[in-house]
Amino acid sequence: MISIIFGILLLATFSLGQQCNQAKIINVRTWTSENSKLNIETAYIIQFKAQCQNNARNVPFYGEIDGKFLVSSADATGETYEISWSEPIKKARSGEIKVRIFDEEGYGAFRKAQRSGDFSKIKELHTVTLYHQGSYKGPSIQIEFLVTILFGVIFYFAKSSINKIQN
Amino acid sequence: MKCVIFLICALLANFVYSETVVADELEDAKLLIAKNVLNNYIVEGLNLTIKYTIHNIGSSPALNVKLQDENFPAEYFEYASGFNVAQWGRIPPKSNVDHVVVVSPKLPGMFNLTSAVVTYLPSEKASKVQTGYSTELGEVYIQKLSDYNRRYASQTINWILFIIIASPSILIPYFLWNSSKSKYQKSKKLKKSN
Repeated sequence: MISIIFGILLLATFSLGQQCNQAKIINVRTWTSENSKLNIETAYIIQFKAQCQNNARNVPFYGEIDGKFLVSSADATGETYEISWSEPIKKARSGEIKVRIFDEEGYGAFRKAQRSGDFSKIKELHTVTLYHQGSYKGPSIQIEFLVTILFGVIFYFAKSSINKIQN
Repeated sequence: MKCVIFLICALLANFVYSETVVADELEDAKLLIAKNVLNNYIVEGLNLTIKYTIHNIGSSPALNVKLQDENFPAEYFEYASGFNVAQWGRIPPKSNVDHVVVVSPKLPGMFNLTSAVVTYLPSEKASKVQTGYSTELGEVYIQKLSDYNRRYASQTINWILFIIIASPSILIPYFLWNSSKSKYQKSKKLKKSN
């Protein structure tokens, strides 16, 4: 009997550990790579802390971008989470990127809504706005080109003045 | 003849056995881990982006997955974003997860990029923790920041300095010529008026 109760308690603890009750997302930090000379792909990172009422740790959160989902990873403490991905520089999104964060329940509801087409009841935990100004590819006009033009103009002026005097 | 039949039987038995083993193995979760560098160049003081991709090619979810990369010690690297230990409670079968970290090398020179370690439970019944290793990149060269800047950074300041330095040799003769020209034109006008 004791073992059955113990087993039920264990099961309850396990199931509670998988769910984050009334998750509150705080300390959101975002990062994107912006140097196209240095990088092959543009990386996007969202880091956040999740406070659960039941103190659950290492629970999955899902980031949704244009209907596609990314699973979060948790750090060693299980309190800080990261949603990260990368895209080839030529195809990388830029400007404001909105990432909606869902918990397991919200993710399930979204998947159902994708099948039924009714998104009216879908509510995310938090929306993160990521700003990526596009990878910097250097100045549009090279400084070497400007300097060449400048000294070309000076040379032309000097040469035309010499010709004027000699004539 | 008997020997040949025995050999064929042995081969067939071995084939059937290996097929069963593969099927059994894939019933559990099996993780393949790729560690990739998303940089063209690795430069001292600039961001080095590392991407880990974990594929579960098995038929069961991998549980308590923990990725640990001790390749970037604090005396050589600084973590700009992301964590060196990442955990997932569950990775479903036939799916993959990504984890990106950004580190910044503190020192230039050769550095060995080794593999990350992943531990997981291959099924709900499993009690033995499975260990997997990511791909490793081997030795890479971390460039000096000054070398990288000399080769790839914008040389705007250097060219502005060049213009400032070169301008006296152009402007001084020009002003001398211009002043003598104006004097000549003045004397020419005076001669004409007389």
